Amino acid sequence: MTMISTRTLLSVLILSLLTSLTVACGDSEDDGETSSNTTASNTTASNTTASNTTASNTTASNTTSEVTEQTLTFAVKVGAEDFTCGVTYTGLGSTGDGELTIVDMRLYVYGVTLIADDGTTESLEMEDTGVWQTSGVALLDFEDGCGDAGTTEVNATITGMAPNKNYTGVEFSVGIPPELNSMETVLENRGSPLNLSSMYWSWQSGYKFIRIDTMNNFRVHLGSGGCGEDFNCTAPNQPTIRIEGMDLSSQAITLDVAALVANTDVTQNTEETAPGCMAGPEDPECFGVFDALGLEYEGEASTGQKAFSAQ
Amino acid sequence: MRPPTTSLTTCEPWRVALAVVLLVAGLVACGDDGGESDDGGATTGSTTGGTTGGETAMGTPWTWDLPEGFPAPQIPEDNPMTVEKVELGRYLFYDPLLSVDESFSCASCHKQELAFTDGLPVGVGVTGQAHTVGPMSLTNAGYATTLGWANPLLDSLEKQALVPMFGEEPIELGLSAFSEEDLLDRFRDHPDYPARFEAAFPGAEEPITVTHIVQAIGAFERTLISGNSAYDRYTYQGEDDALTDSQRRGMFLFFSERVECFHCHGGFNFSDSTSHEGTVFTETPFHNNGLYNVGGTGRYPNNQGVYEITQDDADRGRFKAPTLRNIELTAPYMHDGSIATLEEVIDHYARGGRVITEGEDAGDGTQHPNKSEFVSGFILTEQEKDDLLNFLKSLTDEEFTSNPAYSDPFAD
Repeated sequence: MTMISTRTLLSVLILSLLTSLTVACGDSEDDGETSSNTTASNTTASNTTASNTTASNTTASNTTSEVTEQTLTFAVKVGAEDFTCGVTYTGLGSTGDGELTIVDMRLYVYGVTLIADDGTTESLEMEDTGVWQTSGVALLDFEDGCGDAGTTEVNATITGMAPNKNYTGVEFSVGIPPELNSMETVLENRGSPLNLSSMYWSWQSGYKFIRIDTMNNFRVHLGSGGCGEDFNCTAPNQPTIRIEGMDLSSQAITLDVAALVANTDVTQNTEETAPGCMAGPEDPECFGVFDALGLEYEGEASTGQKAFSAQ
Repeated sequence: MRPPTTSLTTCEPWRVALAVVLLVAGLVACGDDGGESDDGGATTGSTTGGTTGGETAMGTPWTWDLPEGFPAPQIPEDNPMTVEKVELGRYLFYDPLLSVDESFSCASCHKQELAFTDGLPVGVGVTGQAHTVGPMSLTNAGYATTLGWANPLLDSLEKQALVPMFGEEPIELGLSAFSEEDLLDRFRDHPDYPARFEAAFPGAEEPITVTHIVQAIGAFERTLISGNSAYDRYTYQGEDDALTDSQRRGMFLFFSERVECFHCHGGFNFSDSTSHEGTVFTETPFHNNGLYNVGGTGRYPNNQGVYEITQDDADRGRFKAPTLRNIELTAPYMHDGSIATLEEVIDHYARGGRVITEGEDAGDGTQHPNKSEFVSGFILTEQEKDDLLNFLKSLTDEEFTSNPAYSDPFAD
């Protein structure tokens, strides 16, 4: 008896699942908003040309502009110098004499919005490349495997589709969308770049948003903290960065490590805390890093982000 | 005053007996359900497999051989139990391929003869880094509501397995040091694993994935069931002489309002962090037992318990009450192994916490602001203390620590 009812229940469940799926598909075809937009960019991901008739057709009702592929370029610097994996940089930190040999430099970015010169904003629909971008998240990777960990591949760009406008600014979040910031995402096999074990923040059941490792017992690992069930976190630690007045075609969104650690003593580590700042509570090495990222730490509000700029 | 998980709420022996009978009745019913939905699980599985039915795409459904009085563990919908998956999980659990330098396996810190602990105060991973907590016993891990000492977020064995594999603070198996593909290549290039993964995940497009690794390990760990101790033979199997007189007296003390052990270490699994098939409400209780109170600040040395996750001061020093099954084998005790023997553990609870008079951890744990109301202290005669100790030893299950199904397959 129980068997039969279990099976009946199952088929009902499957049926209702199928129904809801069909309805969902129907919906997205009708209104042709973000979801079908994403689909369109998916299907054309292999042809990276700008002539994307499917995409522009479906969004014709939303905007007057044609949708084209947009590329955002990122960079990492240490003060005035370009970042190179394994190179030692000096004169860093609050003491002015800190040295860091950086061997890992990766960060996740999502929720990219482009700001046009007429003041309007458009969200960038990231292509699912299954390499550097998936599920609306991109991995920026500036380490080339020079250290023990890491990969030889590097990536400094995010590509996606947006209406063809004159963009002069950008806003994005550093991190992983909260609904994906869970080890469930790992178990769901969403593919690259969400399957990089070195970016798992497993003890907090999420991801590292920024991973900077050095040979100097100073690391910056940013991830959510103070998390309860359903991944509601008192310290989400996902910076939103807004940069205006930039030329997207010639300038790179640049993370300056020197600015990131400018108010942190990188020459020592407070006992019983993680080396550097691993986003845990009560870590004196985190105040400056969080402040530079525009994040509150231990109840202290940031004076504004200083780590990212257009260069 | 009483946590709702336990049905034993009085010190009177006849009521305890009645409650035990009721508990058994309830659990047997659950066990039956478990058997049936195990088959149901197979149906679910083949649906999940993406096939259109018809094939026996699942492998051989697992049949529980549960101890008398035990319910079936909860099985995640996306990870039904099969014989092949459990077997793969057993290989993976014991295989050093699952550490960065191929020197460690899960079993390095979870040794069967020690009820899957390692006898050390705190864990030590591949790099030699000492952890802040000790490896937990895997006794009845499939019934644990949350895994680990103090992490409300780790609610499945599958998620938990990712922590020792990829965790970096502290480093355990150290697998985050290289790419996931490199890890998977070890198994793809292995003479035996491709067939084992294929058998465990038939029809999967890619049988060898991290998800499948942790699912197989989780499936194996769910089979690590201990329920044939002297206590079980006495309570559930009708062996009236399985417990000594001293152990029986100790049992009544254990389940008494005077000593209060059972409030946190209650139920068939001797832990209030227990769920099983049929559990509707999931409890994730954590307790502060007055182990530390550094300088009167409420701080704990090295590991602050649930606070590490929630950053809520009310969670400082709160840890899971682990199962007491096989507790005789899992010394030293507490999350950081800071109490060497069971005698001293009883002294700790008799005192209502620990007072450390000197050194950097000095402080009066009995006055910790978050201390559980059940850790209020008690007075036992020497005889009573012996009785309680003897009862705790009656929870040792030698069948569990010698069961060949749980042993190292590479030693076969």
